[in-house]
Amino acid sequence: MLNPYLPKLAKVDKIINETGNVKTFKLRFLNESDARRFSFNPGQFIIVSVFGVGEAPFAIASSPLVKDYFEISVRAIGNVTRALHRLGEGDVVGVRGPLGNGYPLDELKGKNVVFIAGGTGLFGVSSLLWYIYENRSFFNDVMLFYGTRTPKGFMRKYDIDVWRNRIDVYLTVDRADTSWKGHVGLVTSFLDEIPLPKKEVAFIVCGPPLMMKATYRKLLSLGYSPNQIYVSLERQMKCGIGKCGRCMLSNGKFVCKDGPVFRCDQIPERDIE
Amino acid sequence: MKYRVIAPTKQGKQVVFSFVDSPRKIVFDYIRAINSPKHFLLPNREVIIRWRYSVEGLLLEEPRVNERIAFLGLHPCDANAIAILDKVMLEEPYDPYYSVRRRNSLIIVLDCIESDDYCFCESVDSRTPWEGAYDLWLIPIDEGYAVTYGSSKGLEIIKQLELNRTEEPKIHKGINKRRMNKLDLEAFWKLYEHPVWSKLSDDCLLCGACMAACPTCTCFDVVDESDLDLSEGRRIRVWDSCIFRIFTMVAGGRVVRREPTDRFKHRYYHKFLYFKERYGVYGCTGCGRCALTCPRHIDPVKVIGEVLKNA
Repeated sequence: MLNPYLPKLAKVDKIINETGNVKTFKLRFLNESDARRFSFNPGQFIIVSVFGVGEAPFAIASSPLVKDYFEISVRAIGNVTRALHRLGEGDVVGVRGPLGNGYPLDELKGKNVVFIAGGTGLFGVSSLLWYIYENRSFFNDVMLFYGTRTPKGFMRKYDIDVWRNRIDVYLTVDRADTSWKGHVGLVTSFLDEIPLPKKEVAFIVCGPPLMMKATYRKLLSLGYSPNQIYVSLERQMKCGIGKCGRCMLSNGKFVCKDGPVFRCDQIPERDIE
Repeated sequence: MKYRVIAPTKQGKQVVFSFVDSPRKIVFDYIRAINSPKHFLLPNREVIIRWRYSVEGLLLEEPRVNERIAFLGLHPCDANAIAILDKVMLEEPYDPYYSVRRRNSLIIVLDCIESDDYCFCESVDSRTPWEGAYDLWLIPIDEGYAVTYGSSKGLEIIKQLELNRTEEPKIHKGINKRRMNKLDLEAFWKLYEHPVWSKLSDDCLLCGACMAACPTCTCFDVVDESDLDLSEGRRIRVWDSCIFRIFTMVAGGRVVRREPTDRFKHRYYHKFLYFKERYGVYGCTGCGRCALTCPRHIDPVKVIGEVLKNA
């Protein structure tokens, strides 16, 4: 019988420094058959173990079409994330997953897709950005709004540079420095300045709690409805399979099993954070 | 088929479910035990993964579970509590440890004839064992016990015994001393943000005793422990409670259910609403352990009654 608590072992193949406290880990399964069996939908996540420290959930940030490795980008902010940051290339971690439901691709195909990401929230949407990039003809206009606090805060710039070829990218910072020539202000204020698709549009939102809530309300005030907005939520998780109870929303849905992606008409507004 | 038998026993003034090796130790005349089947089927501090560093590198091991447990003399509420655990732990993907124990278990229900001030099984459809919740059901009659079966496993046992036929025994109904207002779920939904919750939660000490006593609470934490030389370690599942602040804390310190009220009502919404919607039954059997164990004797019947007054 398959044990859903038993991680598969993976090697840290490469570590990329993103910003001061964010690193990207390129992971590869030790066991060939684990690697062959592993495939995921954009928006799904994995639970990564540092043995002796614990487990934490991470969005898979790399393209679902890449088969021989996968990536997570991690801000060192809790026990497990700090332990991950102490690892070196060649070290071994445990991986469970893919878990949860990804983005509903059939609902998105043929639509205009507008991504709105804040800070590390980019990692929750980047697998979908890659999917759309690789299957660009299935989608209409595609835009990415990405905001960070300062110009040094942009992460996965190497991805953004590729996406730019097929996706309209709009970057903004909360606070500029002398080098910054682009937009300054919250991502929500940016939405006032760039014309957004009026119809047949899906918004893909991921970011810090306040940013998600503000973005959701902004989109409603612009006349869009909850069923056009998709959020990817972060919650405390232990099991990842709907048993430990920690990620339950205030309508009884599990972020791990029923999410982490939700269309906003499926969850109470108070949970959009 | 051999089982280790768990039955109600007397320890001091308390009734406790424990392993017994002699029928003399069993007390059949009891209202509730302080522990519940959960203590055996989903034990606290269970090792779920072990690891070991060897010359071949890191090795992972799954603990083996093979005990065969017979619960003898569970009241209907506690048999139904197992059925509730099943809903969560046997939903795909199965919990591997629970499912093996459960598959190897035998449940013999002893019907209930007496309630105390805390019982409210009749308010949550839990006065009799649900289909699938028992193998055998013993019902006290004048001449001893009537027995009926609820599974093929139970039927097999009955076939091997020399039993006399009896009339269908009478199930005593209306044994509870109080009843909960009929739970109007539609109204309950709408009262989520109602200020009555903050008044009610003021009484709660946030201690989590209700969770430890509850036969259906399944929420857990997972912690890693390493030996001092770091050569091996284990991952342990520990009972946890949604009433604790850190239960919903994510990396960086954000707490989703920040206020005590948020956490207090979550327990009620989960058991009486979310659970019913997802699995078709309440996540509560009315056993009364929470109200009895609570230092303030916070009682679901009263809490829900107070809340629904605002409907």
